[in-house]
Amino acid sequence: MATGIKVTVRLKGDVADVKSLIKHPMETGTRQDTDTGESVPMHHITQITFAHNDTPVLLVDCSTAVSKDPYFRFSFGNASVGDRLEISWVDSRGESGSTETVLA
Amino acid sequence: MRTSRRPFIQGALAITALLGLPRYLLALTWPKNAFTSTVPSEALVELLGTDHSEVSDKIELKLPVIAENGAEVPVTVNTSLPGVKSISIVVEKNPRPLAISFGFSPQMLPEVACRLKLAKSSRVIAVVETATGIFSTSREVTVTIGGCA
Repeated sequence: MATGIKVTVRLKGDVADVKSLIKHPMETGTRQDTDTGESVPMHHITQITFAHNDTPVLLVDCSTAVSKDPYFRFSFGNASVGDRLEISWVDSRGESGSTETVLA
Repeated sequence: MRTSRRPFIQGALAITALLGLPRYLLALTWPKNAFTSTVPSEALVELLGTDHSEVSDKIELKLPVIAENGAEVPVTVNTSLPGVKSISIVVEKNPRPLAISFGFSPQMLPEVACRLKLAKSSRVIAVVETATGIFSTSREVTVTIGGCA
């Protein structure tokens, strides 16, 4: 599955402001295909981890009620230029994705 | 002694598959019972061990008063409560009310924003778990066009 993660990080002093968008359909399992009328099976991200230099800072547990292409904004401290931020996710089918950004 | 190669290959494949997974997620378990519960209080008991929370004015839940598109409702929670361990959001009228739960490390600043689906007009509850207890605040949201949740 083609998946993408867009992430922007802005450093303000030692605080990193993070905005991320993960490409994912987040199917609830209750929606019907408008063309075929068949129900679209449930397929949603269950967990996302944001890790700063290998230490998880934010763990997100998601239900199907998280909107398509999940977007998150948050901030964490003790950050500096050159640090790494790794984003990884798994979904209800066991598919997964990850990306790593270097703070600048 | 002749040993079969097949179990070894299968084992190696299984390990590769495991290593291919994002490493932080291996140790974690998704709280399935909490997320599949259809009753808000039951979902909170499954998630936090209790559905009791102290209403706090130190939590700010930002939501549109009227959400035109229930498929994408921006939600922001921030708090001045110290020692935040988790922030969870419950949408009372959704078929499965527990929408999302954020686990915080001490490095986190106590604010998160996301976008949620609201099936219809509903009370939305932000539940903040801190080192000293469980606190909450809630808001009513009117949804014009429901988002299948």
